[in-house]
Amino acid sequence: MIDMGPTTNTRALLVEGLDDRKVVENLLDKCNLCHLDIKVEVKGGFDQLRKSISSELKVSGREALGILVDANDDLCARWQSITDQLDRAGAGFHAPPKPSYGGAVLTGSRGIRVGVWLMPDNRSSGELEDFVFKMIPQSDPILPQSMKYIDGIDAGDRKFNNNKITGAYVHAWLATLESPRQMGTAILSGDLNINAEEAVLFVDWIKELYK
Amino acid sequence: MTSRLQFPALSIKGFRGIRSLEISDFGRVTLLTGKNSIGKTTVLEAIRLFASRGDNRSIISLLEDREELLSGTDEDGNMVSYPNFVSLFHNYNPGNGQDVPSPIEIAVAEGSNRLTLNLIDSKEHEDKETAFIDDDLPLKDLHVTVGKSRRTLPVGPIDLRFQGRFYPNRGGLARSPDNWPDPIAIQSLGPGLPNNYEVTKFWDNIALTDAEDFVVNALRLVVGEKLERLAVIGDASGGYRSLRRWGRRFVAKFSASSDPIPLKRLGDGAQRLLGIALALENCRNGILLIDEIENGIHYSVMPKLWEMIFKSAREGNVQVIAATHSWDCVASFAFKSNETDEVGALVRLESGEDDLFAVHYDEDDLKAAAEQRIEVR
Repeated sequence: MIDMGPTTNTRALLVEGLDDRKVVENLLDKCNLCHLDIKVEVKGGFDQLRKSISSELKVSGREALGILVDANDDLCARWQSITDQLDRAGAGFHAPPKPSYGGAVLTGSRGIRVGVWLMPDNRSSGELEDFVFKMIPQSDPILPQSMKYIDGIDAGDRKFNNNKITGAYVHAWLATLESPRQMGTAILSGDLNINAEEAVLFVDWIKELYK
Repeated sequence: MTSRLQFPALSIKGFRGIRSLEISDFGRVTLLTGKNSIGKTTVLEAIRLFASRGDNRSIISLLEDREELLSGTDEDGNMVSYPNFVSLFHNYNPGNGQDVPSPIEIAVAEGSNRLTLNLIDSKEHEDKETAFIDDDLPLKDLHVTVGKSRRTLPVGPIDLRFQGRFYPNRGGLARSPDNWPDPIAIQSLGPGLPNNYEVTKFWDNIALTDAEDFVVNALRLVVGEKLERLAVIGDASGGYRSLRRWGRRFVAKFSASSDPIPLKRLGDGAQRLLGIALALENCRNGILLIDEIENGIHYSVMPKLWEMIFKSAREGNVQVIAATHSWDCVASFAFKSNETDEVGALVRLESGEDDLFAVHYDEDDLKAAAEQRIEVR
C-alpha cells in the first residue's frame, strides 16, 4: 500500500519510554494543560531518541521540541550528548555547558524552541521514578513501610541494581494503593502530589517551552 | 567515496520567486522536497541556467517551459515569439516605475564562474517599436556575465520552429563568444513523460555500447525480466514536430512474444524509467535533474531505482538532483543512500518570514527519519 507518510505536530516532546509518556500526559491532564497540544513521542530508549533529535528539530513548521530523558548515572554526559545533537542540527542553539535547575529552554534560529529536562531534577543522577518518588505526599503513612519492605530484602536476593532502589520504593508504594496502579494513573487518581516542588518546576518548564 | 561535485553548494539571488536562497550541502544524489509552489522547480531552473553558463537556448527554454514566450507577428507578417526576460527577475514590475530589477546571481562557490543576469535598456530596438506585439514588454536586453565574460541578448523575435532552435539574425540571439566558459553537461527530466524526440536522441548516443545493457536492465525493473532488447524505429525526416505516429520511437522485444511491442504500450513507469536511465548515461561528468521522480513509478520499485541511480551516478560521475513529494520515495532514498559509499542528502525548501530557506538533512538525519517515521517533506 502507498505510504502517505508520518503525521506531524508543531509541538512535540520526545521521551524514552511508555512510562514517561503516561506520567507526562497525566500530569498535563491533571494540571489542565491539554490545550498545549503536545505530541508525546515514545522513542524506545535513549539511543534512538538521541539519533532522532536532529531530524525532529527539522520537521517542517516545528515550533517547540522537548527532550525528556533520564539523567541516569552521569548527568553531565547525558547533557553533553544531547547538546552535541543540537549542535549537529545547526539550528543556532547556544547551549550552556551544564543543565539548569528547572530545565533548559533554548531558542534557535527562526524562533524554534528546544527544551531539555533530565530526570529527576536536572541536577541529580536518577530517573523518572526518582521524580515520581518526590511526588509521594510527605505525610503518607504507608511510604515508610514500603521502603522498609524493600530495604529488608537481603542484598543477595535483590534483582534490582542499587541505584534503582528509589524505583523499587515507588513501585512497592504504588502496590499499596486502593487499586494498585502505574505511576501515570496515580497522578490522575490524586495519589501523587502535583504540587511537589519538582512537579511544579517541571510543569513550569513545559509551560515555558510550549507557551 | 564521493569525488568532487559540480554543485557542492548553491546560492541564488533575485531569480523568479527567490529573493535569496543558500543551499550549503548537496550530495552525489540529492532529494529536493517542499510544499507545492515553494520553488523546487525554480531551484532546478537555476541549476540549469548556471550549468549552461547562461546559454541562449537555455534561457529561451526556461521561458518556453513556463509558457513565458510572447507570440505575434513581426513587421513582415511572420509568426514570431519574443522572450519576456522580465519574468526571470524576482519581484519586478516594470509598470511600477522601477527602472531595472535587482540582478539575478547564481553561484556554486565563492570565486567560481558566478552567473549574473541584468536587464539593461535596449539599444537595438530604440527605433523599432513596431516589431513588438505587446506594449507592456519593456525594451530591455538581457546582459549575461559569467565570471569575467560578458555578452548581451537583445530583446527581439526568435524562431522556435525547430527543437534545435534556429534563431534568425534579426533577433540577434547570437552564439556565445569563443572565450565563454565551458558549460557543464546537464540533462533535465520534467515531471511528465519524456518525449520521443529526446529519448531517441539519447539512444543514438549509446546504441550498441555497454550503456545499452544498463538501460535495458533499468527498464526490466518495471517491465520484468522477459524484456530482451530495445530498438528505435520510425522516420526521422519529419523533425521534432512530425506526426507522432510515424516519428522515431522505441519498441521492445520480450522473450514471450515474437513481435516487437511499442514502448508506449508498456505504461508510464516504463517510459519514466527509460528516460531516467538514458538521461543518466547522457550526462556523464555532469548533472541530472529529475522533477517529481516518483511519477509513474510503483512504490515497490523505488528502492531498486535508487540503487540504480546511486550506482550509475558513481560510475558516470553524475550528480543527481531530484524533487519529490512522496514518502515512499524519501524513505527508500534514506535506506539506499545509507547503504552506499556515495553521499546522499535531502534539502527541503521552506518559506520563512519574507524568504525561502533550505533545511539540510545528512544521511544520519535521513536514517533516523526513515526508521522512526519522522517527516522530512
